[in-house]
Amino acid sequence: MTDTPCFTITRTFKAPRARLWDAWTRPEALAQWFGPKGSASTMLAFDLRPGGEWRGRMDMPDGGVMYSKFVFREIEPMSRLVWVHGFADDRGNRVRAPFAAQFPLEMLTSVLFADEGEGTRIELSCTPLNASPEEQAFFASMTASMNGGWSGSLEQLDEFLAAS
Amino acid sequence: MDKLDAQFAALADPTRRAILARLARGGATVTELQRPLGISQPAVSRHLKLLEEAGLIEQTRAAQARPRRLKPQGFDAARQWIEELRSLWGDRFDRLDAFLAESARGDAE
Repeated sequence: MTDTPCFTITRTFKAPRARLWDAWTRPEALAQWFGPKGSASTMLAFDLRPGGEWRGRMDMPDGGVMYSKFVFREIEPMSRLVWVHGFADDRGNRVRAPFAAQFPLEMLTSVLFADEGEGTRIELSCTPLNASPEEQAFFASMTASMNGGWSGSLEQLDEFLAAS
Repeated sequence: MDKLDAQFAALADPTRRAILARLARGGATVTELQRPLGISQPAVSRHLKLLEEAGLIEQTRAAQARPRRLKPQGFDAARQWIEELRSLWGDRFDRLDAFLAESARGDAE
């Protein structure tokens, strides 16, 4: 249960895999789509290698400033990108999400790239990192319920939550 | 924050998850919950107490047997968190889609 992703999202894009890989790994490309909606983001560092940092500054419409710090774990060209995802202060020290104290401090984010017809399927998953077994179990069960796939004895709870 | 901690702890136990699954089918009394679980009544009561403290279930006061039922709003914080991620990445994927379409046009020109 501990390595169950807490969140997954999949989408197929109408572009070949090489262009998707480029969009996810070239800072100039990332700057054009990755930042939160309505914010101006600035890339502070982008070091694409295991252990390398990807840091950004986001200036929000309300005048607030947030810093993100991701640390790459695995890079398999054209097929897989894994990083530790989290927020930081202006000096790059890890901090909790400024907007939601209950977000895990760090999450492992994995992106899988696969051909699908003429396009490319992207499968992204997030797993809380260094969370207690209780947190892991909790996130896993909640996500399963959100995705409608709570297998075994909890199917009823799933239906209940969907209906409520 | 404290409430979420209590929920993590409450949901981490398989017996308590089984109780929630049973209650999702409708309210039940301690005796009704005890039978299929095969554990003692005090043990069931202890589990119910934890679930109640976590805000996931509540007691119905109407009947003498005080059947327990789920509190749908008890699950809100965690659902909100997942919804947040869903909306964040959904928006981001929309922008990636637009970026790919735009740069494809640029290449063709």
